[in-house]
Amino acid sequence: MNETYEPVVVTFCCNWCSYAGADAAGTAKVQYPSNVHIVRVMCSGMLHPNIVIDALSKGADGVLVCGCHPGDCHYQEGNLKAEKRGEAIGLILEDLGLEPERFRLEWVSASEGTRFARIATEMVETLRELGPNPFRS
Amino acid sequence: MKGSVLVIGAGISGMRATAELVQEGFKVFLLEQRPTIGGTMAQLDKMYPTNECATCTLLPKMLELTSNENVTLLAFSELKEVTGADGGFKVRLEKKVRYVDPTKCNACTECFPVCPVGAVPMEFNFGRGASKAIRFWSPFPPRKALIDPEACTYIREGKCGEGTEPLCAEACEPDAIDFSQKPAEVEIEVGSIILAAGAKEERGEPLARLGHGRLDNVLTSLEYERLLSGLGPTGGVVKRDDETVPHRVAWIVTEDFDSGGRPRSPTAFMSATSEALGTLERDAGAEAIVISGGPKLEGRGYEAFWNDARERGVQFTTASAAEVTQGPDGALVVSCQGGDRDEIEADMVVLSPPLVASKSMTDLAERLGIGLDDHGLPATPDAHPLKTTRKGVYLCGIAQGSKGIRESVIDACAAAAASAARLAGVRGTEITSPSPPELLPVTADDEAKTAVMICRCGANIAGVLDIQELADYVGTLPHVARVEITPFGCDGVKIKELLGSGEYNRLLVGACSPRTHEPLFQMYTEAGGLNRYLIEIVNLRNQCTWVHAHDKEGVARKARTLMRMGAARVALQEPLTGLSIPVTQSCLVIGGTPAGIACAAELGEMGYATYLAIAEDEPGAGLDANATRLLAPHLESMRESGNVTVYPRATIGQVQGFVGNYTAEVVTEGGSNQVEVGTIVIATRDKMGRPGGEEDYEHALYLTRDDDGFFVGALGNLNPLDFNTDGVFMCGSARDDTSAAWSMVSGEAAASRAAAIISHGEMAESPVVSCVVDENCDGCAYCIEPCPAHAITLIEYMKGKEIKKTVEANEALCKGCGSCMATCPKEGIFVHHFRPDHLRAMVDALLEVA
Repeated sequence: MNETYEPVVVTFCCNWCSYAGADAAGTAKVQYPSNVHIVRVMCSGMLHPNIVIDALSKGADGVLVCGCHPGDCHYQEGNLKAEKRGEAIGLILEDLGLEPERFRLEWVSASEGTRFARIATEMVETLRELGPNPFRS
Repeated sequence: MKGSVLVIGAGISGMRATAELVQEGFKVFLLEQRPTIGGTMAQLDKMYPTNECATCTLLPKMLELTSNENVTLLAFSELKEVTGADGGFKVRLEKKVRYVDPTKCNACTECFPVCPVGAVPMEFNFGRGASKAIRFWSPFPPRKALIDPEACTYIREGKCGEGTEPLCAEACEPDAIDFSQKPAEVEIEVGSIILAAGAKEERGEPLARLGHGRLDNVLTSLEYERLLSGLGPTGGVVKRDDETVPHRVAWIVTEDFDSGGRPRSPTAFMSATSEALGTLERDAGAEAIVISGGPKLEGRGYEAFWNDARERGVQFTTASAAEVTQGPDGALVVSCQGGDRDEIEADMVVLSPPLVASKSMTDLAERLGIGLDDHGLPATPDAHPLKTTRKGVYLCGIAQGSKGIRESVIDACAAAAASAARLAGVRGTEITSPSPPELLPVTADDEAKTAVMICRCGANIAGVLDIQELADYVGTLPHVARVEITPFGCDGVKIKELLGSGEYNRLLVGACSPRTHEPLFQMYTEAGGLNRYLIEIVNLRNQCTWVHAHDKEGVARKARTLMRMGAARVALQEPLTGLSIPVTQSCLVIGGTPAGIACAAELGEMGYATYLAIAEDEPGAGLDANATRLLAPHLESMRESGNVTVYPRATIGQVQGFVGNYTAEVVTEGGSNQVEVGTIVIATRDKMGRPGGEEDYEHALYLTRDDDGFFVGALGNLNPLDFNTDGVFMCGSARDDTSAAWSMVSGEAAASRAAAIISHGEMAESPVVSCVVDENCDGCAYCIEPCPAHAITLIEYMKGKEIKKTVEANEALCKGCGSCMATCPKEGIFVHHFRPDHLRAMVDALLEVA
């Protein structure tokens, strides 16, 4: 395995819960690896599966999508729609020959800074074990 | 009658009362005796029970107020005399001498280094940290220098350094230094007065007995908050007097150990808990122990916060007596009695006294012409907790009694409602509406020319990142035309300077979180002549420097990547203009609780058509004697105003619509009534939906309840009455269990929240909504079912001889969640500002090798 390999993680966080949760990790100064980069979306249910697949086929080592806990969605059930799309994403990964662990969907509330940091850390550790995305040029 | 209000005290209570009143159409004079605003809350590090950063929450509010043209801030000023009566008071004020002309000072700070007098203790930090004789009084607005006459040698002895001419005056480019300044008298006329002054830690004998002022490293709670605060004298690292970092800190809730026998304050125990938790967040190996007479958890979420603190390692011990001594080695020992610990050794002891009204209340009351009660607080003879002995003078916050931030906010809204109701006849007569700014015309075809501002955020960002190196890198990115660094971007000065040239058509900001600062930065952007959707904020602080502080290489790489992503996105952004939607200027209040009655009565008095749906036979039925007496004035006003329609024995049927435009079905024995309202207030915990009804209004409005059946509101201590659903508010038993008096106050406060919306005939709707791409949409209709707002409809039309299909999105209904966008197989519909190409550009920029 490449010793100097630094996984690149694309993270999509919903505006209302998870992005605020990631902010809360900051406020509480809970540290996590710098490999995780957050793109803010209004709702986890806004993210088209193609965006996730594109990111992975362009060489992102992992994609993490974070939404509100079930019941907390600002738009009622956008997070549950994201969950269904997540299943579809899993199937496409299989077709592409990518490990299912490269995609992860998690619920993070606005106050769960520690939880966000833990998930981010775990994701990076998992990707370190998996090695670089074979699509990486 | 005058359509303006004087608010005395610019802490959180006064600031909130001011913000409510200007939204409701009144001009406000905001008087503050200190040179800067924010009060006690500005001195805090974090707030319980939400663990939010006080500065992050408060600073945007301060900046909104100081830039509002209908707020006249009178900082460093004193009340002299009030004459006249309710509706038309004449107020005499005095502006204190600061030796600097605030209209000329531009906060450049060039005078600070030249001042030869250093080591002036900072009052804002309780004497810790040092400043020059010319300085800012605190890190908060208004950012204007002032000179301490006790410290300045030129004022005292006519000498400055080696010479006799003041060096600050020489260094001051705008010529703002004025040693001949005299106190200036100001006279204003206002319709009513809100007293929001006076939060102080109770000092005196109980604190002295426990060693404060006598033993080293014995601090008060607020003094300790200054050490926890990143803006404090030690930059957020708690240090002892000898500069060492304490590892064992003990809190003593002092009121539990003095013999006063008064009721325990709701703040002291929680403040100690919050500070202990903050200590462990900084140093997980530290020992933090809170010594008290037992937990005091009087507020929603307090118990959960306390449990969380315990789980995260804060220790709690109960005792009946406590004493602090200092050993020869300097270590402190807290000796306890009647509890499970006899002796607790500590490197630092924090005394947490109650927050009470300050001693100057007596003096202030005299000038205001209001009476005081036995405790030295303004008397409230009508049993209404916020009404003083002088008609037209209202109370809120700690001037009323010891309380936390959330409760102060509720008071402040209620006091604002009382003023707004009393002065309803002259609403809008003294305010000016901002003229829409002239914006740079930008089209999608124009090449992006991006100006970049990177904020140091004091040491929050610049203490971790090499800012100059980052700026140099950002300068090499596509479309970036200019890069500037600023100490605190949130003051708006740098944005104004950058956009003032009219050369740039995009703005990229590397700073704090858009979650907290986007509205403010958007306001500055628009003031600078650029559409508010042409700015992108990169979260360098909360999601970079704060979370990768120990990874020098990683944090620098990530900062470059995040800026690259932001630059790629902002270049694609388009100017957007929100819809202006009409607002139905009326309100539906659900529930016949004291809160519901007070809310409806207040709105009726303000002149708004109000519908009160109650389960009882008539308003006030079922209330006990005390509540009946309290609510008598509201019940009378409800009858008198003629604006309140009561629906007795009512249930609520179907509710539809959105903020400003709700339609609700109120069902009574007489039949079904459709009411059109701009806002809805939920004033009861009882279910008022139609038994067996198919559509539940709670579900239709996306309202949720907690395990105890109380409604779950919007996040944050400053939003105690708001839901996430715009235009819907809660009060009384809908939000917590409380006495009839405080239920009533929360109802009045909810009236203010509702009035802030319905006082205007129209409101601006966000343009971040769905948009159909005609050339891509083939009318497959996959997007229709997922839309939670039911905003999408299928359209069939004839093109030549063919039937074509497409969809249409109703912008007023659309919430911008993007379920449609994620469902569409052909990119035939997207949400403005979050277009697929925006997201792809960010991912591409991220994957580029730096």
